[in-house]
Amino acid sequence: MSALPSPVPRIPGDSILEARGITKKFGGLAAVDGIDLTIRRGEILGVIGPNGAGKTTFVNCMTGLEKPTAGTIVFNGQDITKTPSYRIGRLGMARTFQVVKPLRQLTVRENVATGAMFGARGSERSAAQARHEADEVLERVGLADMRGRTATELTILDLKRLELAKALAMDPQLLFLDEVMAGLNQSEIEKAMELILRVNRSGVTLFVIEHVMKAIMGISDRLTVLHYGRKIAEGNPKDIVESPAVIEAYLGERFARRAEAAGEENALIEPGTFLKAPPAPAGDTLLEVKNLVSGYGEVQILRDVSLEVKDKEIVALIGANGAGKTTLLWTISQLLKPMGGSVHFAGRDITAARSDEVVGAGVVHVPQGRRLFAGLTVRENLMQGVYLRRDTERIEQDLERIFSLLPLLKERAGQLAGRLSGGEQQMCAIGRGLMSRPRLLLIDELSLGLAPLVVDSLLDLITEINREGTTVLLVEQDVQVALEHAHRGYVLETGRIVQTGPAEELLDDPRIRQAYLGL
Amino acid sequence: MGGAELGQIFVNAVLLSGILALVALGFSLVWGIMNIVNLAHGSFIVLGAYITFFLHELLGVDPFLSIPVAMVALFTLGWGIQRGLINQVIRAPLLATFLLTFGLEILIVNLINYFFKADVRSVTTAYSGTGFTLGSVRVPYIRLGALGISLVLVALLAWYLRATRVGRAIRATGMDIDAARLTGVKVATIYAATFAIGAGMAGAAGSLLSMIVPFDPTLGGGYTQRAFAICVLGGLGNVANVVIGAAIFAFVDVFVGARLPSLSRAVTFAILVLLLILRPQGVAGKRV
Amino acid sequence: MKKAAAIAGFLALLALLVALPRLVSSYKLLTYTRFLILALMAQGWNFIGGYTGYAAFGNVAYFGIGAYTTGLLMIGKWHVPFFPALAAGALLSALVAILLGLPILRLKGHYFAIATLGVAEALSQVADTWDSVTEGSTGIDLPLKTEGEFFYYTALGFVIVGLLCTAAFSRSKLGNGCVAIREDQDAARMLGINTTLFKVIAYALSAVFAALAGGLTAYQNIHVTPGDFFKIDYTLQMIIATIIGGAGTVLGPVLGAAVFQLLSTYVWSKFLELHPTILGVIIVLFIVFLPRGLMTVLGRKRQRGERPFRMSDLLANVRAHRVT
Repeated sequence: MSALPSPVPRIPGDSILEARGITKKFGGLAAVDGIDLTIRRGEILGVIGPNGAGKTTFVNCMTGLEKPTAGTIVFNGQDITKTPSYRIGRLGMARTFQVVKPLRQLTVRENVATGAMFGARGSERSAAQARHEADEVLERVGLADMRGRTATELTILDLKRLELAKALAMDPQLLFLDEVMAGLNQSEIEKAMELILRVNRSGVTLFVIEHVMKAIMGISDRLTVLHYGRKIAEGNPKDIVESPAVIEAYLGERFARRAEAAGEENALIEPGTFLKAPPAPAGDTLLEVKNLVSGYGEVQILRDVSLEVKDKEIVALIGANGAGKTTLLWTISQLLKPMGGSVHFAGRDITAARSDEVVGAGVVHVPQGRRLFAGLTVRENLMQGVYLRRDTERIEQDLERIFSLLPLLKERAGQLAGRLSGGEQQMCAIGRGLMSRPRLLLIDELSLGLAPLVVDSLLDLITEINREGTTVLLVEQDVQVALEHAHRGYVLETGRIVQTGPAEELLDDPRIRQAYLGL
Repeated sequence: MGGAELGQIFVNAVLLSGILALVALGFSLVWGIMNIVNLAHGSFIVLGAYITFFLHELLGVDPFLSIPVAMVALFTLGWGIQRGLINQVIRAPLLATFLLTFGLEILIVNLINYFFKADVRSVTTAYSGTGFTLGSVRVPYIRLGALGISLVLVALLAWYLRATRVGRAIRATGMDIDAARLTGVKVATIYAATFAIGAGMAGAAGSLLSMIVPFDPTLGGGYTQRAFAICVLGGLGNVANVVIGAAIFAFVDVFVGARLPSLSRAVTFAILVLLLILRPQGVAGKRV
Repeated sequence: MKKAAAIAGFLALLALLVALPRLVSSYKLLTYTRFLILALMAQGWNFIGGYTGYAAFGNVAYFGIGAYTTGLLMIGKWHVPFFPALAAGALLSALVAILLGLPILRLKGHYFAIATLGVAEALSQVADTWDSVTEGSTGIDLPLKTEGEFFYYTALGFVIVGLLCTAAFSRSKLGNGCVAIREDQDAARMLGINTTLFKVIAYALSAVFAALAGGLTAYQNIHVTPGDFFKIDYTLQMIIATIIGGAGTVLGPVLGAAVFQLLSTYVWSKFLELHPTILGVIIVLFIVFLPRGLMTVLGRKRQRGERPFRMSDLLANVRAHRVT
């Protein structure tokens, strides 16, 4: 992709970091695949890309936490490709972690003091001076009142601030921020943006990974887009989000075509490639979620979610990364205990049920990332789906039905599930779900990482099982994939439902793009 | 070293590896599925040995026939210990489960000591000490029987884990606990079953050991360490790894024992530590 | 004000401890000496196990090395006085810990625990077998020293030094770095901490304290055998004392050692035969209900004026760690 010219005058010409041909392979898979990237001194470089684009892995390579398989990194004119990470920290590079890594048993002040002790200027300071320095940093990030609390007592916003404070205390010249805004609400995001800008104006170069588009658009001098481990675009933020490659990476290939065709509705959908779901039947309410609040430990992800799914419907739940889609499904399945609100299924309150009771009631969850049992064969994975069933005589019959729906699985029945391709794994995961004879199937990120043709066939499968009577709640990042096959849709943004309606209407609603790209 | 001696070493190692595989099997299962290094494993072995001893001594039950009794008793005990104690701290820091199981080991061993005294005992039957010779190599019947029973039990567990509903759920839970929950698995129950099976296998191993070696309440500790070494050698993950690990351990143990009898444990542990550092994933297994 | 009260209390306790040999029988004094030696070992283990979070399960190795080095230097052709001999033992232990620590501190979790256990076992057998130096299982005999007060005061001195060391450590860069390693090794590395170096230092520190305890015990017991000085009970006791008191706290190991010794002595006097069994029960109960030690009951929360510890917190511990 051609890089767009940068119009930013505030930034001087020289670079603080030069990465050339960075590649990181895990097993045979390249998570980062030959990325060239220059960070200019003083800028805020925004980095976006869908899940699995290799953003965090790239930061891991830059900061020495993982050593790149190939490529070179030059920081301030010094080759640091092979430098251990603790020395990189002392050279003036710092980072935050996407999943916050506070020093849990320590107070906020001690956390930050640790950064001041060992960072770029740590050797000049005694431990006591570092603690004093920590107080100043805490003042800057607005955590001064919390200095005596242990990290475990903080809210998510404060934990994110702490993560930033620890890094700032290291006196970095270059700071990598990895999704510091995930899980924050609107006003918290604004505070965070302001804080980031202030940090930058104080002379720290920033590399900011963020899914919250509004924020990244508001603060970045330049924007880089990563997709499947490669850099697909770079340049002025406004131009970048208009570029078709970016829209495709984010909203899916079909949506991009629709956007390009700009209004000519019939030009968008290729005819005959998949079955369209039949009109929505007016069934009874099967799943009813009311005012649900949920999250992980201190981190609140769902703030107030209400939705319902009627019998025999396909309902799509869409929303950008980090909006809380997966958290919602985990809470319905009781892998996460709700903090507030209620969940009813088929008239029964399952808010405080155990996960096996939820499965027993007929709610079956096909999780994101498939989560197959890698060391079990395909057949064993499918058979694990019948764990709770008592009607043993019909199991063989159901297995045959799965095999006839998904003939590829029959061929692979004896193989270990870990050896399957992505599409085959998704089939196997759905097959495992179907073997439980669900009344309601929850599917998380059906199309993630799969080729369009594979997605089409999986969607046909969903339509088919829906026709046979299974209700489906489909969680998708790819807007078009989800809405074209659903009867109704909900849009989730930072832990709240912001919109709902018939799928066709949502497809043309400009606010969808807004929820994703923050335009 | 002559050919005859080598032959005897080889046969001894083969005979030993069967029982060692049984000793390590339950330990490996609990570690692999629940991520718990059960330091009370040895005390389960000792309990198995005492059950066999007393059934033989008081009721005249043939030691081989007492194996199922020991297994059922230990299975029940294991279930109770898992549900009542270990399950309460299973997500606590590593040291908690480590110390908890060690506390259990101390508790059980000393209760045995209290009730049955520290006397060294052995199970002696009419066929104890008998055997046959192949050329110059001696094969005792009891050790051969122990090998046979060990192999049968190892095979039975492998079959159970592979072919039954609960066995499959045990393996699935060990691979991905959340995904297992999504298929309706009640993890606490599966953990209890896993721990109970591990204890049952230890009970069987104890029964067999009581016929082979003289024992007292402290017999078990050494076998916990052997089980650990075997798991490290073979790697966790499946029954075959345990058998491979046990075979390697048995050969090293018998060979070192024949050449450097006084340093056998030091050498074995030195090898173990070296191996841990060089190949933490085990000789046979994948990285865990 | 509060601080002044705490210091006054501490000084009073110190005065009591100094005066103790005049107040109790020589037999009782032995118990107190034992408590101090256990406290010393626990203080050492606290550096690696408590602050750095590495479950070292073989620290008895350094106890044994300290005992044998001290003993061997005091007898034979050298006749080194006790304190230099003890210092040599501590130094040798530190050296062994550094050399062993470099490879085994790369291991994590269970693997590290068992590797240390294995090292202790192997050393025990070496001591048992190396007749020309250690006299094998018969052991060696040290010069006789009967004044109980000498051992009591020496141990008390070491424990006080240990407390000061621990307090300094916990406020130092080193201590801060070690805690960061315990909480999150990746985060620690990114904060600029040389994790390998810090872990090795903490491990060597724990070895020094174990060696001091070993040398002192050797001199007190006169007779040193592999069976007595390499037995895993010592490792366990130091870990349990630290856990009971509160791992990673300054006072925890000493407090834990006191409670452990108290319970142990009481149980010993009442139920001689069931003694280890009851200790097993105590360990189990502590782990289930108070996995983070007594200092969580007395410590931080109260200081900051938040709600004090309640009995229901015991059950909360259980709820937080179980699986359904």
